[in-house]
Amino acid sequence: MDKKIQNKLDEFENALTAEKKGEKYVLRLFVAGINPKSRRAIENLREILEENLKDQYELEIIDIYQQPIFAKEGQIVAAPTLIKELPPPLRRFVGDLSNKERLLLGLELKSKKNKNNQNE
Amino acid sequence: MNKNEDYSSELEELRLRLAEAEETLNAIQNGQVDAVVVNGVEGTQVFTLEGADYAYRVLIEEMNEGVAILTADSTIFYCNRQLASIFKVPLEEMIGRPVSEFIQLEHLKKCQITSKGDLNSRCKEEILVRARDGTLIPVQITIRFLKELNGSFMVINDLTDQKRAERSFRIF
Repeated sequence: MDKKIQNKLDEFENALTAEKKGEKYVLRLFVAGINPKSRRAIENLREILEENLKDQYELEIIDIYQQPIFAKEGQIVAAPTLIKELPPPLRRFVGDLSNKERLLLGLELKSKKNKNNQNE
Repeated sequence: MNKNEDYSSELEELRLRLAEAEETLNAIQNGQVDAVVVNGVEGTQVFTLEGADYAYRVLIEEMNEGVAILTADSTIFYCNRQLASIFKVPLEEMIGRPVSEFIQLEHLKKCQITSKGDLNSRCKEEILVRARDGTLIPVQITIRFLKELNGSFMVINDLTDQKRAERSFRIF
């Protein structure tokens, strides 16, 4: 690809990412009591949010053992599951959230372009 | 032209949903989850995949005392419904928060729990905590560090009724 166009594209992607960074995030994490992956999911998520979205998110953590009705409403099939309700689109992540890269990409806090550049 | 745009946005949407479905299945198959949720005729049930210490869990969920488990940095990573009801806070707004949001630091210091996470403590104290609606509640708090949990567990006993009984006893 033409280098000029590539640069423009990068700029555009970065601008999109920056815009996302100004938005309020509403997140719901569904956990299963004190089980180890649930604990890790809480720890990993808090770390990522504090680093990337400080004071810019609302997080509810739901124990599906004690509040199974919420699991049904959220169409949860397994725990831990993280749901990003806002900003749209709604997205879900299953597992202990240890793959930081993937989560940042999924939350659109990092553009694919940036990732590729880092890998080079 | 418009039709093509419709198709491509629909295709994009479907791709995203497929990717999510695949990620979910992968997570379950690779053992990255603790439990699965099944919606049956008897309502929603949660099936634990490993370490199914069912009886212990029910014990903690059903006991009269408020119970929380704290990580090494004093974040509440588990709490039962009773604890949330003592503080008059929805359960989903207690899990994942620092314990210092609910119990004043000076009280926590009594139990040697500082915000920095010095958890080498074992204590039993009577303190006052403030519920979200502003009421002060007398409680007995027990905190103990457990190496096995890499954190500590906290038990809170609401003394409101007991204190009221003591007061009326004094009057007579």
